[in-house]
Amino acid sequence: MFLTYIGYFFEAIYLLVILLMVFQAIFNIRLRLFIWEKPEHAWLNHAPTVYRDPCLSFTILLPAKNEEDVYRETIQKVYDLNYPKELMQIVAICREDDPGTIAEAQAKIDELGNPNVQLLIYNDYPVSKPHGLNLGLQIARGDIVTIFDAEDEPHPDILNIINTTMLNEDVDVVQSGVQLMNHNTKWFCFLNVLEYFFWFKSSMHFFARIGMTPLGGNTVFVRRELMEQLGGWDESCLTEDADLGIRLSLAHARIRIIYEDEFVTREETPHTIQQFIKQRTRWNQGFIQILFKWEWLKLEKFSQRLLAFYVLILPEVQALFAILVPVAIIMFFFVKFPLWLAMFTFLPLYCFVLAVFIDVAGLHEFLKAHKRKWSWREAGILIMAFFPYQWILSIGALRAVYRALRGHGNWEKTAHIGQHRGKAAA
Amino acid sequence: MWTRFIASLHKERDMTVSYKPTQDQDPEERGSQYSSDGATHSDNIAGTSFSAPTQPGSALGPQGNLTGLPRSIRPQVVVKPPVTPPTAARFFAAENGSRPGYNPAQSGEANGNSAGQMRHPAALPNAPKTGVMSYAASPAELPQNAQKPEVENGNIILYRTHNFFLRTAYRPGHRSNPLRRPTGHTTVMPRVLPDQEKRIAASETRVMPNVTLNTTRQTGAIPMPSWVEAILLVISLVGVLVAHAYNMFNFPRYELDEGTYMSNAWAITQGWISPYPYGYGHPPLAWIQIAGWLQLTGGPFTFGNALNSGRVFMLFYAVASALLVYLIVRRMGGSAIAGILALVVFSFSPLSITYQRQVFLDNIATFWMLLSLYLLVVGNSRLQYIIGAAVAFGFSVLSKEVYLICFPALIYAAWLYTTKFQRKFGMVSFIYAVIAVCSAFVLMAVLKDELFPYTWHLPWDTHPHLSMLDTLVGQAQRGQVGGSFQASWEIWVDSDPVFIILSIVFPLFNLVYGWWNRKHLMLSLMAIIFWLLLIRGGQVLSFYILPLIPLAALNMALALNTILGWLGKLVRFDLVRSALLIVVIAVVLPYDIKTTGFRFYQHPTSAQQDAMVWVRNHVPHNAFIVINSYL
Repeated sequence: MFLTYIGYFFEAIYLLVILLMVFQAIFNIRLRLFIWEKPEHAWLNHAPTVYRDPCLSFTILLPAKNEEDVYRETIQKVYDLNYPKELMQIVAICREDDPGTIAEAQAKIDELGNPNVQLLIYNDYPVSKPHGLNLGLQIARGDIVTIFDAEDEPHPDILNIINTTMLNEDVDVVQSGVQLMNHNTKWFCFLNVLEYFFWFKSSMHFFARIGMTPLGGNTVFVRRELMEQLGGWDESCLTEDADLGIRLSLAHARIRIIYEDEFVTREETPHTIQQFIKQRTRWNQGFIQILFKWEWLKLEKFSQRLLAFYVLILPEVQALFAILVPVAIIMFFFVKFPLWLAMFTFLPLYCFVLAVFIDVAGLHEFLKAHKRKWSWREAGILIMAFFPYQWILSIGALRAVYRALRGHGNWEKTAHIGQHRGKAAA
Repeated sequence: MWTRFIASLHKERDMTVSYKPTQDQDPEERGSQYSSDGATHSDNIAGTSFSAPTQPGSALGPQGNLTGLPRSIRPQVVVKPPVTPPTAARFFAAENGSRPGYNPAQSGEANGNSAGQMRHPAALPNAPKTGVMSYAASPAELPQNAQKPEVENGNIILYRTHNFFLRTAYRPGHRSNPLRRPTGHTTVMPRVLPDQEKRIAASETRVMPNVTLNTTRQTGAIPMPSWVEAILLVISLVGVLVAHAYNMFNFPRYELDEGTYMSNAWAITQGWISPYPYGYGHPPLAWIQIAGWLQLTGGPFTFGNALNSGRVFMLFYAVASALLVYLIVRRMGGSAIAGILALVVFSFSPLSITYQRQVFLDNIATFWMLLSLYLLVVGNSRLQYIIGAAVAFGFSVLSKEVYLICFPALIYAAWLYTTKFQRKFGMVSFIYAVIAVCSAFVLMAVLKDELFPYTWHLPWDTHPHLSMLDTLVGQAQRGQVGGSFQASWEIWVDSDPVFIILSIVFPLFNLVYGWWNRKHLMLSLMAIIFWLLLIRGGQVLSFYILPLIPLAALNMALALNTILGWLGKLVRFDLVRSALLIVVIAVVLPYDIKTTGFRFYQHPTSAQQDAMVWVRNHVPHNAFIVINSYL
């Protein structure tokens, strides 16, 4: 008798979890498809076609750590942006214990010989990207501050676009698209690339509409005064970008999202699964940090707080769901539900399969946008990789929770070897 | 072109040279720019901890040089004395918002990172004199007499503090750190970037997203006032309601299937799928809806007997379908009169007066199919509508599985009514959602372990059972024993010859005209698919015409609207089109009423009702009765 009640209790919990999974999956799909929801949304990502005369000056921060392989090229690429050189201040940011990268940067600076290409070397703690950025902000002199990561490949006209957008529209922050480009180097690359694709192209607009925008880590352009009023980046946070986004949202900054396939900043995926898990761990841990800073609770509207909570907690929730898959299989074989309940428990599966198909469609869209060839084999790999990818994500999430509980707050750096550049050349 | 380019280069060089004077005045302009930007800015700058950055001062050395600084560093903005509390304390102060002049809404949250702290390397005595924008004049930019620049192996140190330094390449003679400070007042700017024109000319044309909607404009030259339209529509719908309701319980006679579905619906209310072992003949959603109706109206006997209750329910589907037919034509053809014509053809044909009254799965499925089409047509390519249409069509198939055959036509409709920009994801969502909803039927069989035939003796089969595959195979092989196309054809032609002819002619017209207008092609395909299903040589019962009635009405109204529209164009007077459409209605309506005639006063069900009453009164309640299911 008592046991049957316990059984009922667990069944109820199980069904509740199923319900949550369905909500989460549907909402996730909605985020991914937001930009395609209505024809009018097509213009949300629109970048200006006619450039105005260069007027705003830019300070481009290039934080780097152990990036000997790619750094020189990155500085050159940033220097080559189509914009008057006297309106660009390029600041390479290194720590003094990284002589290799410093040497690379120094060599490039000597080669360029332009006093606007500068090297900032710091020696204090914490050793983190946001700390370097804050130091860079102190000597920043441009109207707009922006960041590119060491492996980034910005579009040559990106500054023209931002200049025009900032002049034409009354905005404080412009987040331009960031896109991983090596979609077929590893089995998990497909989904990782698509994640960026959907995140920057579609989800960001939903966030911006609600008024809770966790920004990306680079190609985000902020007016310098605003950046200074906010007090720079949070140096203790592992995902200072998302934190900045939330603080900008709190400050009612006007945020514009641009994702025009042509103008995205190109990046590469982590090149091993270990690196990938490390990167995810860092992000998720950063999100946990932001969650427990409780700043998001100060957001005005309930919808904003709810969305912030959802975005910050999402990795852990997804990890939980991934763990539940074996539970669901056991339940399917050993627990006899009434017919309609049994059918109900299949709803999450239906949602996941839809997500797979949307990913395949997204892959097609991505390949078309970048004029690459569609291959059924790759689509097959994507489908096969879907669930393993979820499991890797959940490993990252669990690892983040573990590290957060143990209090490890150090920055696990993702190594870059320039896979996307090789591709671009080929 | 080339000379112009050279000229522009020259121009630019000139401008770079002539720029110098503006640089001297730019600090002031910065100040004015800020004040024009909004006074709040300066307040905030003072309010947040950002009040007194002291870098220049710290690197500057002699205080006397401050007078030589650009005016920007004089306190044009409100400057607070350099309070330098430790980070944590400052953070909490910010949290509480307790500092005077602190405006959380504008300034954002001054968060607790140590950047602010870094800005106060030491509380220098001359710090208060440095303004917010003081680092605009960082040491390197100061007049050379300020301090000898620090040069080490070809690099100039632009700025140095205890925890970091900034250096850049040093070329003797170059102006160091020459970031130009353009402001809103700087008029002398380079007009073009070098090579800009050539680059733009060489770059690929960017294709804008194609968001053209495939919708029809209002065809009528004089739009009908909406209140007139509303009145017309209400009158028409009341007419439909009356025509279908009048004599509903007496004509036509109760069919075998009606009884089956009503008993199935009753079984649903008892927690089964059907009163007998469920054989997957039809998916159960239709009688689940009827069961909902029974629950809502308080049992099967609210309207006399169970069949009557079902027929009342069908009345709602008939009226709702009529409304949908009107709305679809209204939207696709852009003409209210054409919509009314479609409604009249759909609802007042003798065929519909007969079959739409009866408790058939087709009536329910037709409604859902029309709803799906309607959502696609009016959705303006919004994803919610597309998914709604997919779910509606899924319900249609779950009400009667045969409707799956118009899936290709509906996919085509979804294709037509999405913009190119959304098409990929729209199609994926639509097709997947339809298949997902339909697959619930298969999933049910799987969960009941009844997908595969018992005769295969699969390991988990413990007892004999009906199976879905068996039934499907059986249905596919079903011959014309139950009813042939010829027999049904005779019944249809006998009831309404005009309708039958037109329902063939107009889809064919639309098939041809579809070459120019793809929406007509889509409608034509829908109708043709159902005709092909009927003439394929399988079992055809007379009420299988049901899905064709709305499709024929749609085809007819739109085709006539087009043809008469041409006529209107020919005489250059669009009212002719409307007038002729009204004439058509005026012809169709009396014809329909005349041919419908006897359906309003015959009562073939009374014999059946008498038999039922007799059985109830004379046969013992525990007796086994082998009987037709309508009783």
